Amino acid sequence: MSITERRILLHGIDREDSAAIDTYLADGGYRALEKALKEMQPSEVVAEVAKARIRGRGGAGFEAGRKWGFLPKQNEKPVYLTCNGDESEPGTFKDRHIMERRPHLLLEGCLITCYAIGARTGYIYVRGEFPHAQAALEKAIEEARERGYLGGDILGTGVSIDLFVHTGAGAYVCGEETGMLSSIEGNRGNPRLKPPFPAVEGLFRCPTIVNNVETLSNVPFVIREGAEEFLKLGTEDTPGTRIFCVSGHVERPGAYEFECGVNLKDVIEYAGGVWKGRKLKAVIPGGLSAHVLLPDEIDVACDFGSLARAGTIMGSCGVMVLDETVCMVRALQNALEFFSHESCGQCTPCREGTDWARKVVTRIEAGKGTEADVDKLYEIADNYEGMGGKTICALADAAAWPVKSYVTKFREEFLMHVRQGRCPLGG
Amino acid sequence: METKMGEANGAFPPEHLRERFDAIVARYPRRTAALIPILMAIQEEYRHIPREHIEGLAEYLGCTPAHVLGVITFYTMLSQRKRGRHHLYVCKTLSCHLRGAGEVLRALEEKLGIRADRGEVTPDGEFSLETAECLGLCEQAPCILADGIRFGDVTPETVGRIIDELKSRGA
Ligand SMILES: Cc1cc2nc3c(=O)[nH]c(=O)nc-3n(C[C@H](O)[C@H](O)[C@H](O)COP(=O)(O)O)c2cc1C
Ligand code: SF4
Ligand code: FES
Repeated sequence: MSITERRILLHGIDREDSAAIDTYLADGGYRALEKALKEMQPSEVVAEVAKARIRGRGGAGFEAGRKWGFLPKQNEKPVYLTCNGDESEPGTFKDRHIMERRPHLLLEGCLITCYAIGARTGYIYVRGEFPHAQAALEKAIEEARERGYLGGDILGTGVSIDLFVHTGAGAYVCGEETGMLSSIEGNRGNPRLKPPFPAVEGLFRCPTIVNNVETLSNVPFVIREGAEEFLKLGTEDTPGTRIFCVSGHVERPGAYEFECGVNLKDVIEYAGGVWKGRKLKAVIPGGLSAHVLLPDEIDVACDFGSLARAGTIMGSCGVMVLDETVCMVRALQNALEFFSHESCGQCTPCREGTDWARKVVTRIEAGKGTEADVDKLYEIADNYEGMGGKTICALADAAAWPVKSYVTKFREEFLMHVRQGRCPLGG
Repeated sequence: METKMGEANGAFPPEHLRERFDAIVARYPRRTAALIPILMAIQEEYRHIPREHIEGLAEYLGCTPAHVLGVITFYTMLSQRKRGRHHLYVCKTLSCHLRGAGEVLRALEEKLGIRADRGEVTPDGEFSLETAECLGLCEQAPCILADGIRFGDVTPETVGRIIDELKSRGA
């Protein structure tokens, strides 16, 4: 079936001046902020966002409005908003599109959220490898300040909110929310044990809300048009749109915004289908951490619930497409090089396990593995998968899912490497 | 285009960066929170984090030199070894790998005569190479980030042009 894009977050990004404040204002930009500040109580904003059930676009799908509700009711400390623009899940580039092409949309979302949660200051954490996004946001902050949408006494309402860009310096684990908080505080990006959750004790030990760039960019629509309108988009499970990042072996890799619930097969077709007329081998639907899907498993609706039922995750919506020439052992080796490199090393199962798995898969890839190694690989991942609270953060789980799913679904290919002593695909 | 601004002389903050650093510090309720943005600025300025600045920086922000070192070693974009005037991050993660990142890296190593995994710099100090994990630019795979410029859909045949372009832009 042919599908059409529904550009709400990516509205007008083909325009040269999509990032300019005048472009944004001409499209009704900052009207939601004005409405929130002048006509709504902070609690009403929280209620409206809760009603819209915006599920976290960082990957976990937690409802933003509910998270905001976890802030302590009795609180003397400052409250912070930290916007997660680390975007380091491999295969993901949607937040970059928003930050670079529609920075004011994100700023407006952050400003409304700060008002709703009672934050005077918000930090937008942007990975160090995104200098263009940082520059676009810095420029947008200046423009918004000049026009009175940001800073002291916004639009004469007496509300003051400051937003700052905070640069990362290269580390995947800083995308994990508490790793990000450590990084903003000027530390190594080590994740912290939860509880306490950031909403209770986060940045500078103060109540803090962490939300992803895309999550917060949905807030202006919800406030301007109302939660009812938002709920008309997408599915019951996952209302709204999402930006699908399609990469790998397709004809037209890119960021495409669709209503949630769109069929994964159609998304891949929309991106031009498998390149060079080749056959599809596998799809990783939610960033490198996601469990791999086989060609006969991709006739599935893309929302959090449906993809979970399909045995994978919607995650960051990074759809990686692999054609028939790909060696899955080599692909797993690539993934494990990533995860073992990015493990922060605090937890033994994650630090040792990811490195051990990397060594085993490297051995198999080189044709020097044994059949027992193939089972070993699965076992190692099963052991470091942190579900049982064995690790501080979910990086260990993220690193386990590719291993377990590739080894299970492509077991024969792993065994062929062992039996033939080389890659059967000639790779 | 090496200027004397590029030389570290111990005093911290260096005069020409003081205003910028003070403004960064003012964004946070605690001075140490400015550490990573300031280290990134130093890295950009000197192409590494000069040893002689570590104590001054620690004192400026009210933390220990050991803390500063601990942070430098955690983040891949910060380096104690001086990088080339043009530093290339070549993505090697899956989406880029699938579209030929390995061949691109080999072509670059051959062309420049340096190895990425050894952190080598060309003898004239012009270029250094490093593999990077996903640069968030996968729709343009395989891709390179160098001097804050992005190069997408790179092939072994086009790496020469990238090197020429970086050279022509100066440092
Ligand atoms: C290893 C790891 C890496 C993560 N990377 C990111 C990231 O790059 N961007 C992001 O928004 N969330 C990332 N997350 C999820 C965050 O921890 C957090 O759930 C999210 O930022 C919350 O925002 P949301 O509820 O709006 O999605 C990561 C989680 C883990 C475990
Ligand atoms: S699970 Fe891994 S990345 Fe997360 S805190 Fe533990 S060692 Fe660090
Ligand atoms: S995998 Fe290379 S930019 Fe994402």
